[in-house]
Amino acid sequence: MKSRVVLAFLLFISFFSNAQIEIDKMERLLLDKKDSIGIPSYKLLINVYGDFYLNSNSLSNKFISSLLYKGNFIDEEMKDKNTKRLKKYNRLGVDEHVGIQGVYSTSKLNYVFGIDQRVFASAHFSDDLFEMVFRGNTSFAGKDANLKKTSIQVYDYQSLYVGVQKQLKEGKYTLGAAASFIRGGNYQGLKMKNTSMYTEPSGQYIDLNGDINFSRYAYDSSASALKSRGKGAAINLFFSMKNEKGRLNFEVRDLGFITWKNIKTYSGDSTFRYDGILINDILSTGTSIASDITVDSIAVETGIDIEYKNKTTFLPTIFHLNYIFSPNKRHSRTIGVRYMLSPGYIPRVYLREADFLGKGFTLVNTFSYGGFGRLDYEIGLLKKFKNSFIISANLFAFEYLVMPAKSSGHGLNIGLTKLF
Amino acid sequence: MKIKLYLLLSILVILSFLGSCRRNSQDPLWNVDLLTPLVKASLSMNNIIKDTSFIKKNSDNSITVVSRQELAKITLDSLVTLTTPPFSNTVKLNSLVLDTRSVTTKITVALIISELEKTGDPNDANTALLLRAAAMYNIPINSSLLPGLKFLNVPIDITQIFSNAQIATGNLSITITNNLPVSIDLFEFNLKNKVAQNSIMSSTFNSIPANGGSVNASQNLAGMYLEGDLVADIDTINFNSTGNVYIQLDQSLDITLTVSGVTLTSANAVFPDQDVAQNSDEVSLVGLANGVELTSATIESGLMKVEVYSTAQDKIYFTYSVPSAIKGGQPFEVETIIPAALPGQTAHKIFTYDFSGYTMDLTGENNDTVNTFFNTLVGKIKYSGKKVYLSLADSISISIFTENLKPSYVKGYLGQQTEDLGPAITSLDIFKNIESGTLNFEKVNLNLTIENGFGVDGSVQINNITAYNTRTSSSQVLTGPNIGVLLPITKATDNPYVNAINTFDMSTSSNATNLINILPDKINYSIQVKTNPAGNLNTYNDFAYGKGFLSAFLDVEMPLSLIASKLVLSDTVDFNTTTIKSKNVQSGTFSVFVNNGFPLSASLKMYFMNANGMIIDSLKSSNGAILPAPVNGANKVTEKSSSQIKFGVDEYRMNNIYNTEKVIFKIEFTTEPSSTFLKIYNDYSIDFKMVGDMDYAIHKK
Repeated sequence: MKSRVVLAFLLFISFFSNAQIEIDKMERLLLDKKDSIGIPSYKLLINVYGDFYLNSNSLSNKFISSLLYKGNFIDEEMKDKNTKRLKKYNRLGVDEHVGIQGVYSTSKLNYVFGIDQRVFASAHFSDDLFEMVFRGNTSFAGKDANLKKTSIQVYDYQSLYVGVQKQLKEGKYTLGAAASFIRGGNYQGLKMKNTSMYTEPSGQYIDLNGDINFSRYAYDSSASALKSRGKGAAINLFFSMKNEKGRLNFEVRDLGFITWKNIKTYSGDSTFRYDGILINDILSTGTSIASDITVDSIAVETGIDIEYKNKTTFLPTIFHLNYIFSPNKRHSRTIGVRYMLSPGYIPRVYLREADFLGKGFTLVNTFSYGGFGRLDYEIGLLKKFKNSFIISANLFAFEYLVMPAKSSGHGLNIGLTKLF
Repeated sequence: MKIKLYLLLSILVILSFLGSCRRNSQDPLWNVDLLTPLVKASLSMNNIIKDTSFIKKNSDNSITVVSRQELAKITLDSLVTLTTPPFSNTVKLNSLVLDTRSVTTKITVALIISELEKTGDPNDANTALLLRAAAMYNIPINSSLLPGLKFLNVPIDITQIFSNAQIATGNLSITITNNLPVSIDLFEFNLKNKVAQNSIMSSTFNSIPANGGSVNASQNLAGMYLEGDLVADIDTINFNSTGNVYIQLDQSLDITLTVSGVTLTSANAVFPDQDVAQNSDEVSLVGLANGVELTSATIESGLMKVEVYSTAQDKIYFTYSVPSAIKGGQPFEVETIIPAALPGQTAHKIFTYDFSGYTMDLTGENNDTVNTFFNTLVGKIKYSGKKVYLSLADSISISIFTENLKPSYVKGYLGQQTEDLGPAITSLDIFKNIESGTLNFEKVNLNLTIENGFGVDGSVQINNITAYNTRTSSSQVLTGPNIGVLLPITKATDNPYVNAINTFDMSTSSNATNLINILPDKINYSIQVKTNPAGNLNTYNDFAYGKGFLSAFLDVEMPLSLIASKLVLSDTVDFNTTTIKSKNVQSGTFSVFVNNGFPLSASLKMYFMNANGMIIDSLKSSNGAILPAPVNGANKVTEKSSSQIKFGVDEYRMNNIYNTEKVIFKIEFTTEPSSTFLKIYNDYSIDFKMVGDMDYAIHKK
């Protein structure tokens, strides 16, 4: 029955839609103008890529660098500087892709296929939560710490996808779609909608007031590739319309879900009081006076429910709309807006200009605002070789390199495309 | 990077989850100031004295601590051991029999013709020719033509019965059956051993009718030696002249020898199934001292070993049984085979059998004795179709012995036995954690309890009980009316099995309270226990189980109405959990919040020991830091008192704590108001909570 549904779905998308290399990718700037810049027609395209993107509206690049890359001790001065950058609610996101994609063209249809490994993390958190995490709760003694609207999740998954694209009305319209089969790896997620934490002045108890939902697997590096902790499915949809001056593109990517199997979940909506781990046998000779204080022991002590259950999460679906036009043969401009269904992500508006410099080089400058961060600048370079190779690199690190303590966000995209 | 990403977001998740932390060593990534409760505990007397069987709640809700100290124990092993002497018996074969067998030898017409042809006499040759023609062509001949015959050394083969045999008793009969058409007027014969040529039997018959007529004679064989190959001399056969007869070559004169009722002294024979050895005997238990007389015993474990030697040149099928040893309704009986011995040699075999679970009647074969069991053995041979040599001189030598017989139950008279318990010293654990100070109980009840698990009456005499406090070098000798006198002990009852509890009051008119108030850690005792002081009054109805015992206990009941003055309790606990060893805490202040419901002030000291047992640091509260709960006019606690003890721990001390494997806790108690006996009630409790205000390190993965 399941196979029939999948088959019907594939037939459906093969009739109506058209999948292709996603419109984010810079290679499209060349491929859309292949006739004018001398790229011959091709039957098969193979693209290998790696993307890393990290951004925040508050955490500085220097702070992130110490935390994730250099492992430097984060002293009070660094904390102070970053505290000044904090908003009432803060955002942080990481998106990492590695994959290989192919497009095979026939006279009637183009077929798209590929494998993508993605690590995704997003966080939406209050300034109080940051302070508690990096300075502790002592300064909150006798006060409520605001933990509202907290959403933190980090997970990885792999998708295997196939799709088709079809051109209509002599190429004026293009429709495409692909279906992905997804294998989930690691997952951790915390949500607290309307929650606060109170520390009794002398520390005799800590109250968590409100709701909490925390799910996690123990991190296992082998889960990224070998173990399957969840399964899911997604579809990608693509539409473009061409006129005399340019092309309007609209794409929906990763519209789908993963069902995580048997994940450990802590949940509750009440006032949870932690006033120490109860030691029953403190006077027993030969026993230890200090049991391990763990998340589980605290949850048990406070009455937070712990259970293993299946959990379905929606993928960070991307909605992307842009318009590409060419004022002349040597330039191409793109204006677009990109939105991702993820806590902490706001619509990202961007303006991109590509200069076709000759000798196969193309320089790409991009200004954007939004996403997980704020105003960002990216610079990219493409080079085609022998009319069948394209290499691309897009660096989002100018601010990281020039003023790391006062900027947020960095990333890098690289790709190699071979045309057959 | 991915791992670090997970680390970052895990830390965000987990720290936001009430301050729980990563536990990794190496360098810290950042520090946080945590203010959090760590552990808490609430202790009532039920928690302080873990074994609640030690606590007795009185009618006024006050508490009495009960302690039982076992002084000595007598088990069944010290009363009864089951051993048997090696039981050996050599049994010769007591009978060898042969069944009745017959062997027939035929003298046919063809044989007669052949013998006539061999004589060389022309007349005999003519007669032979005439007879052969008459037989071949069915021509009647006149019987007067048949000559008188004589046959010497006619072989009689009885080797199918034996090759040779020395007959003890028996009979040999000979039957002559005349199947010839002519009657016989005279038949004379003599039977001999072929080799020895001695005559075994001779006889003369005067008339044997023709066509199946027969005659017989018999001979007593007692004491005779027979060979398997015999010969018969037929000295005369005279036929009667009765006219014409038809003869045939296969017509015969049959001589049948039958041996019957034969018993043998020895023989090389084919023997039928028969018992060749039998023996029955009684075996007495040895080593039962002090007049123990058992009528039955059930074996919990042990082995029965049987060692057999045989000179018989045939397999002996051997059965050993103890009819009075019953298990599951079946007597102990084992069957096995002893292989045939080679000529002139001895076959040897050892058999081992599990004897556990058998109940043995020890009253002998006729149920008229004690400590004795009856056993039988039977040796058999079975028909094999082969001749073997057996003699009544052959023997089966058997040794039977038991190994590690351990009874699970015995019954009978367990004798008059005296067991001295001590003089000996035993440790007393009740006050083992008291390091210093004084503790005075208002009143103490002291009992000596004899728990008798044996079904035998007895008596006990307490010669001496002395208490020692080795810490203070003080001692007290117990005095009172029950010291030095014989006290009767009742016996356990069976079906159902219930131990008899005999309690002797050692408190009344004694110095028991003073004895306990020295807080003894050693007890020196000397007690004598006797069984059946009045003899076999139970008429062999004493019993004992293997699991049974007779124990002497010192029972102490201490109603918690006491005065404590600077009483220091000390205990050592492990301090090596992974939480501690993760070394996340750099320094901090640890506060112990105490809500004390006991009318005792207290102070706390903690000594930290490293793996070598050296004290490397300590934390101490001020004297009386834990305030006593206030009491009313009836000296009863009205409410809990609250106290807070703070311990500052700098980085140096924290490092010492990380190197700690054990912590010695010393708590000093003083009852308040002082010099007043204060009762401890069941609902008293003390609550502890430890809060850490800590500089806490988040480590790298």
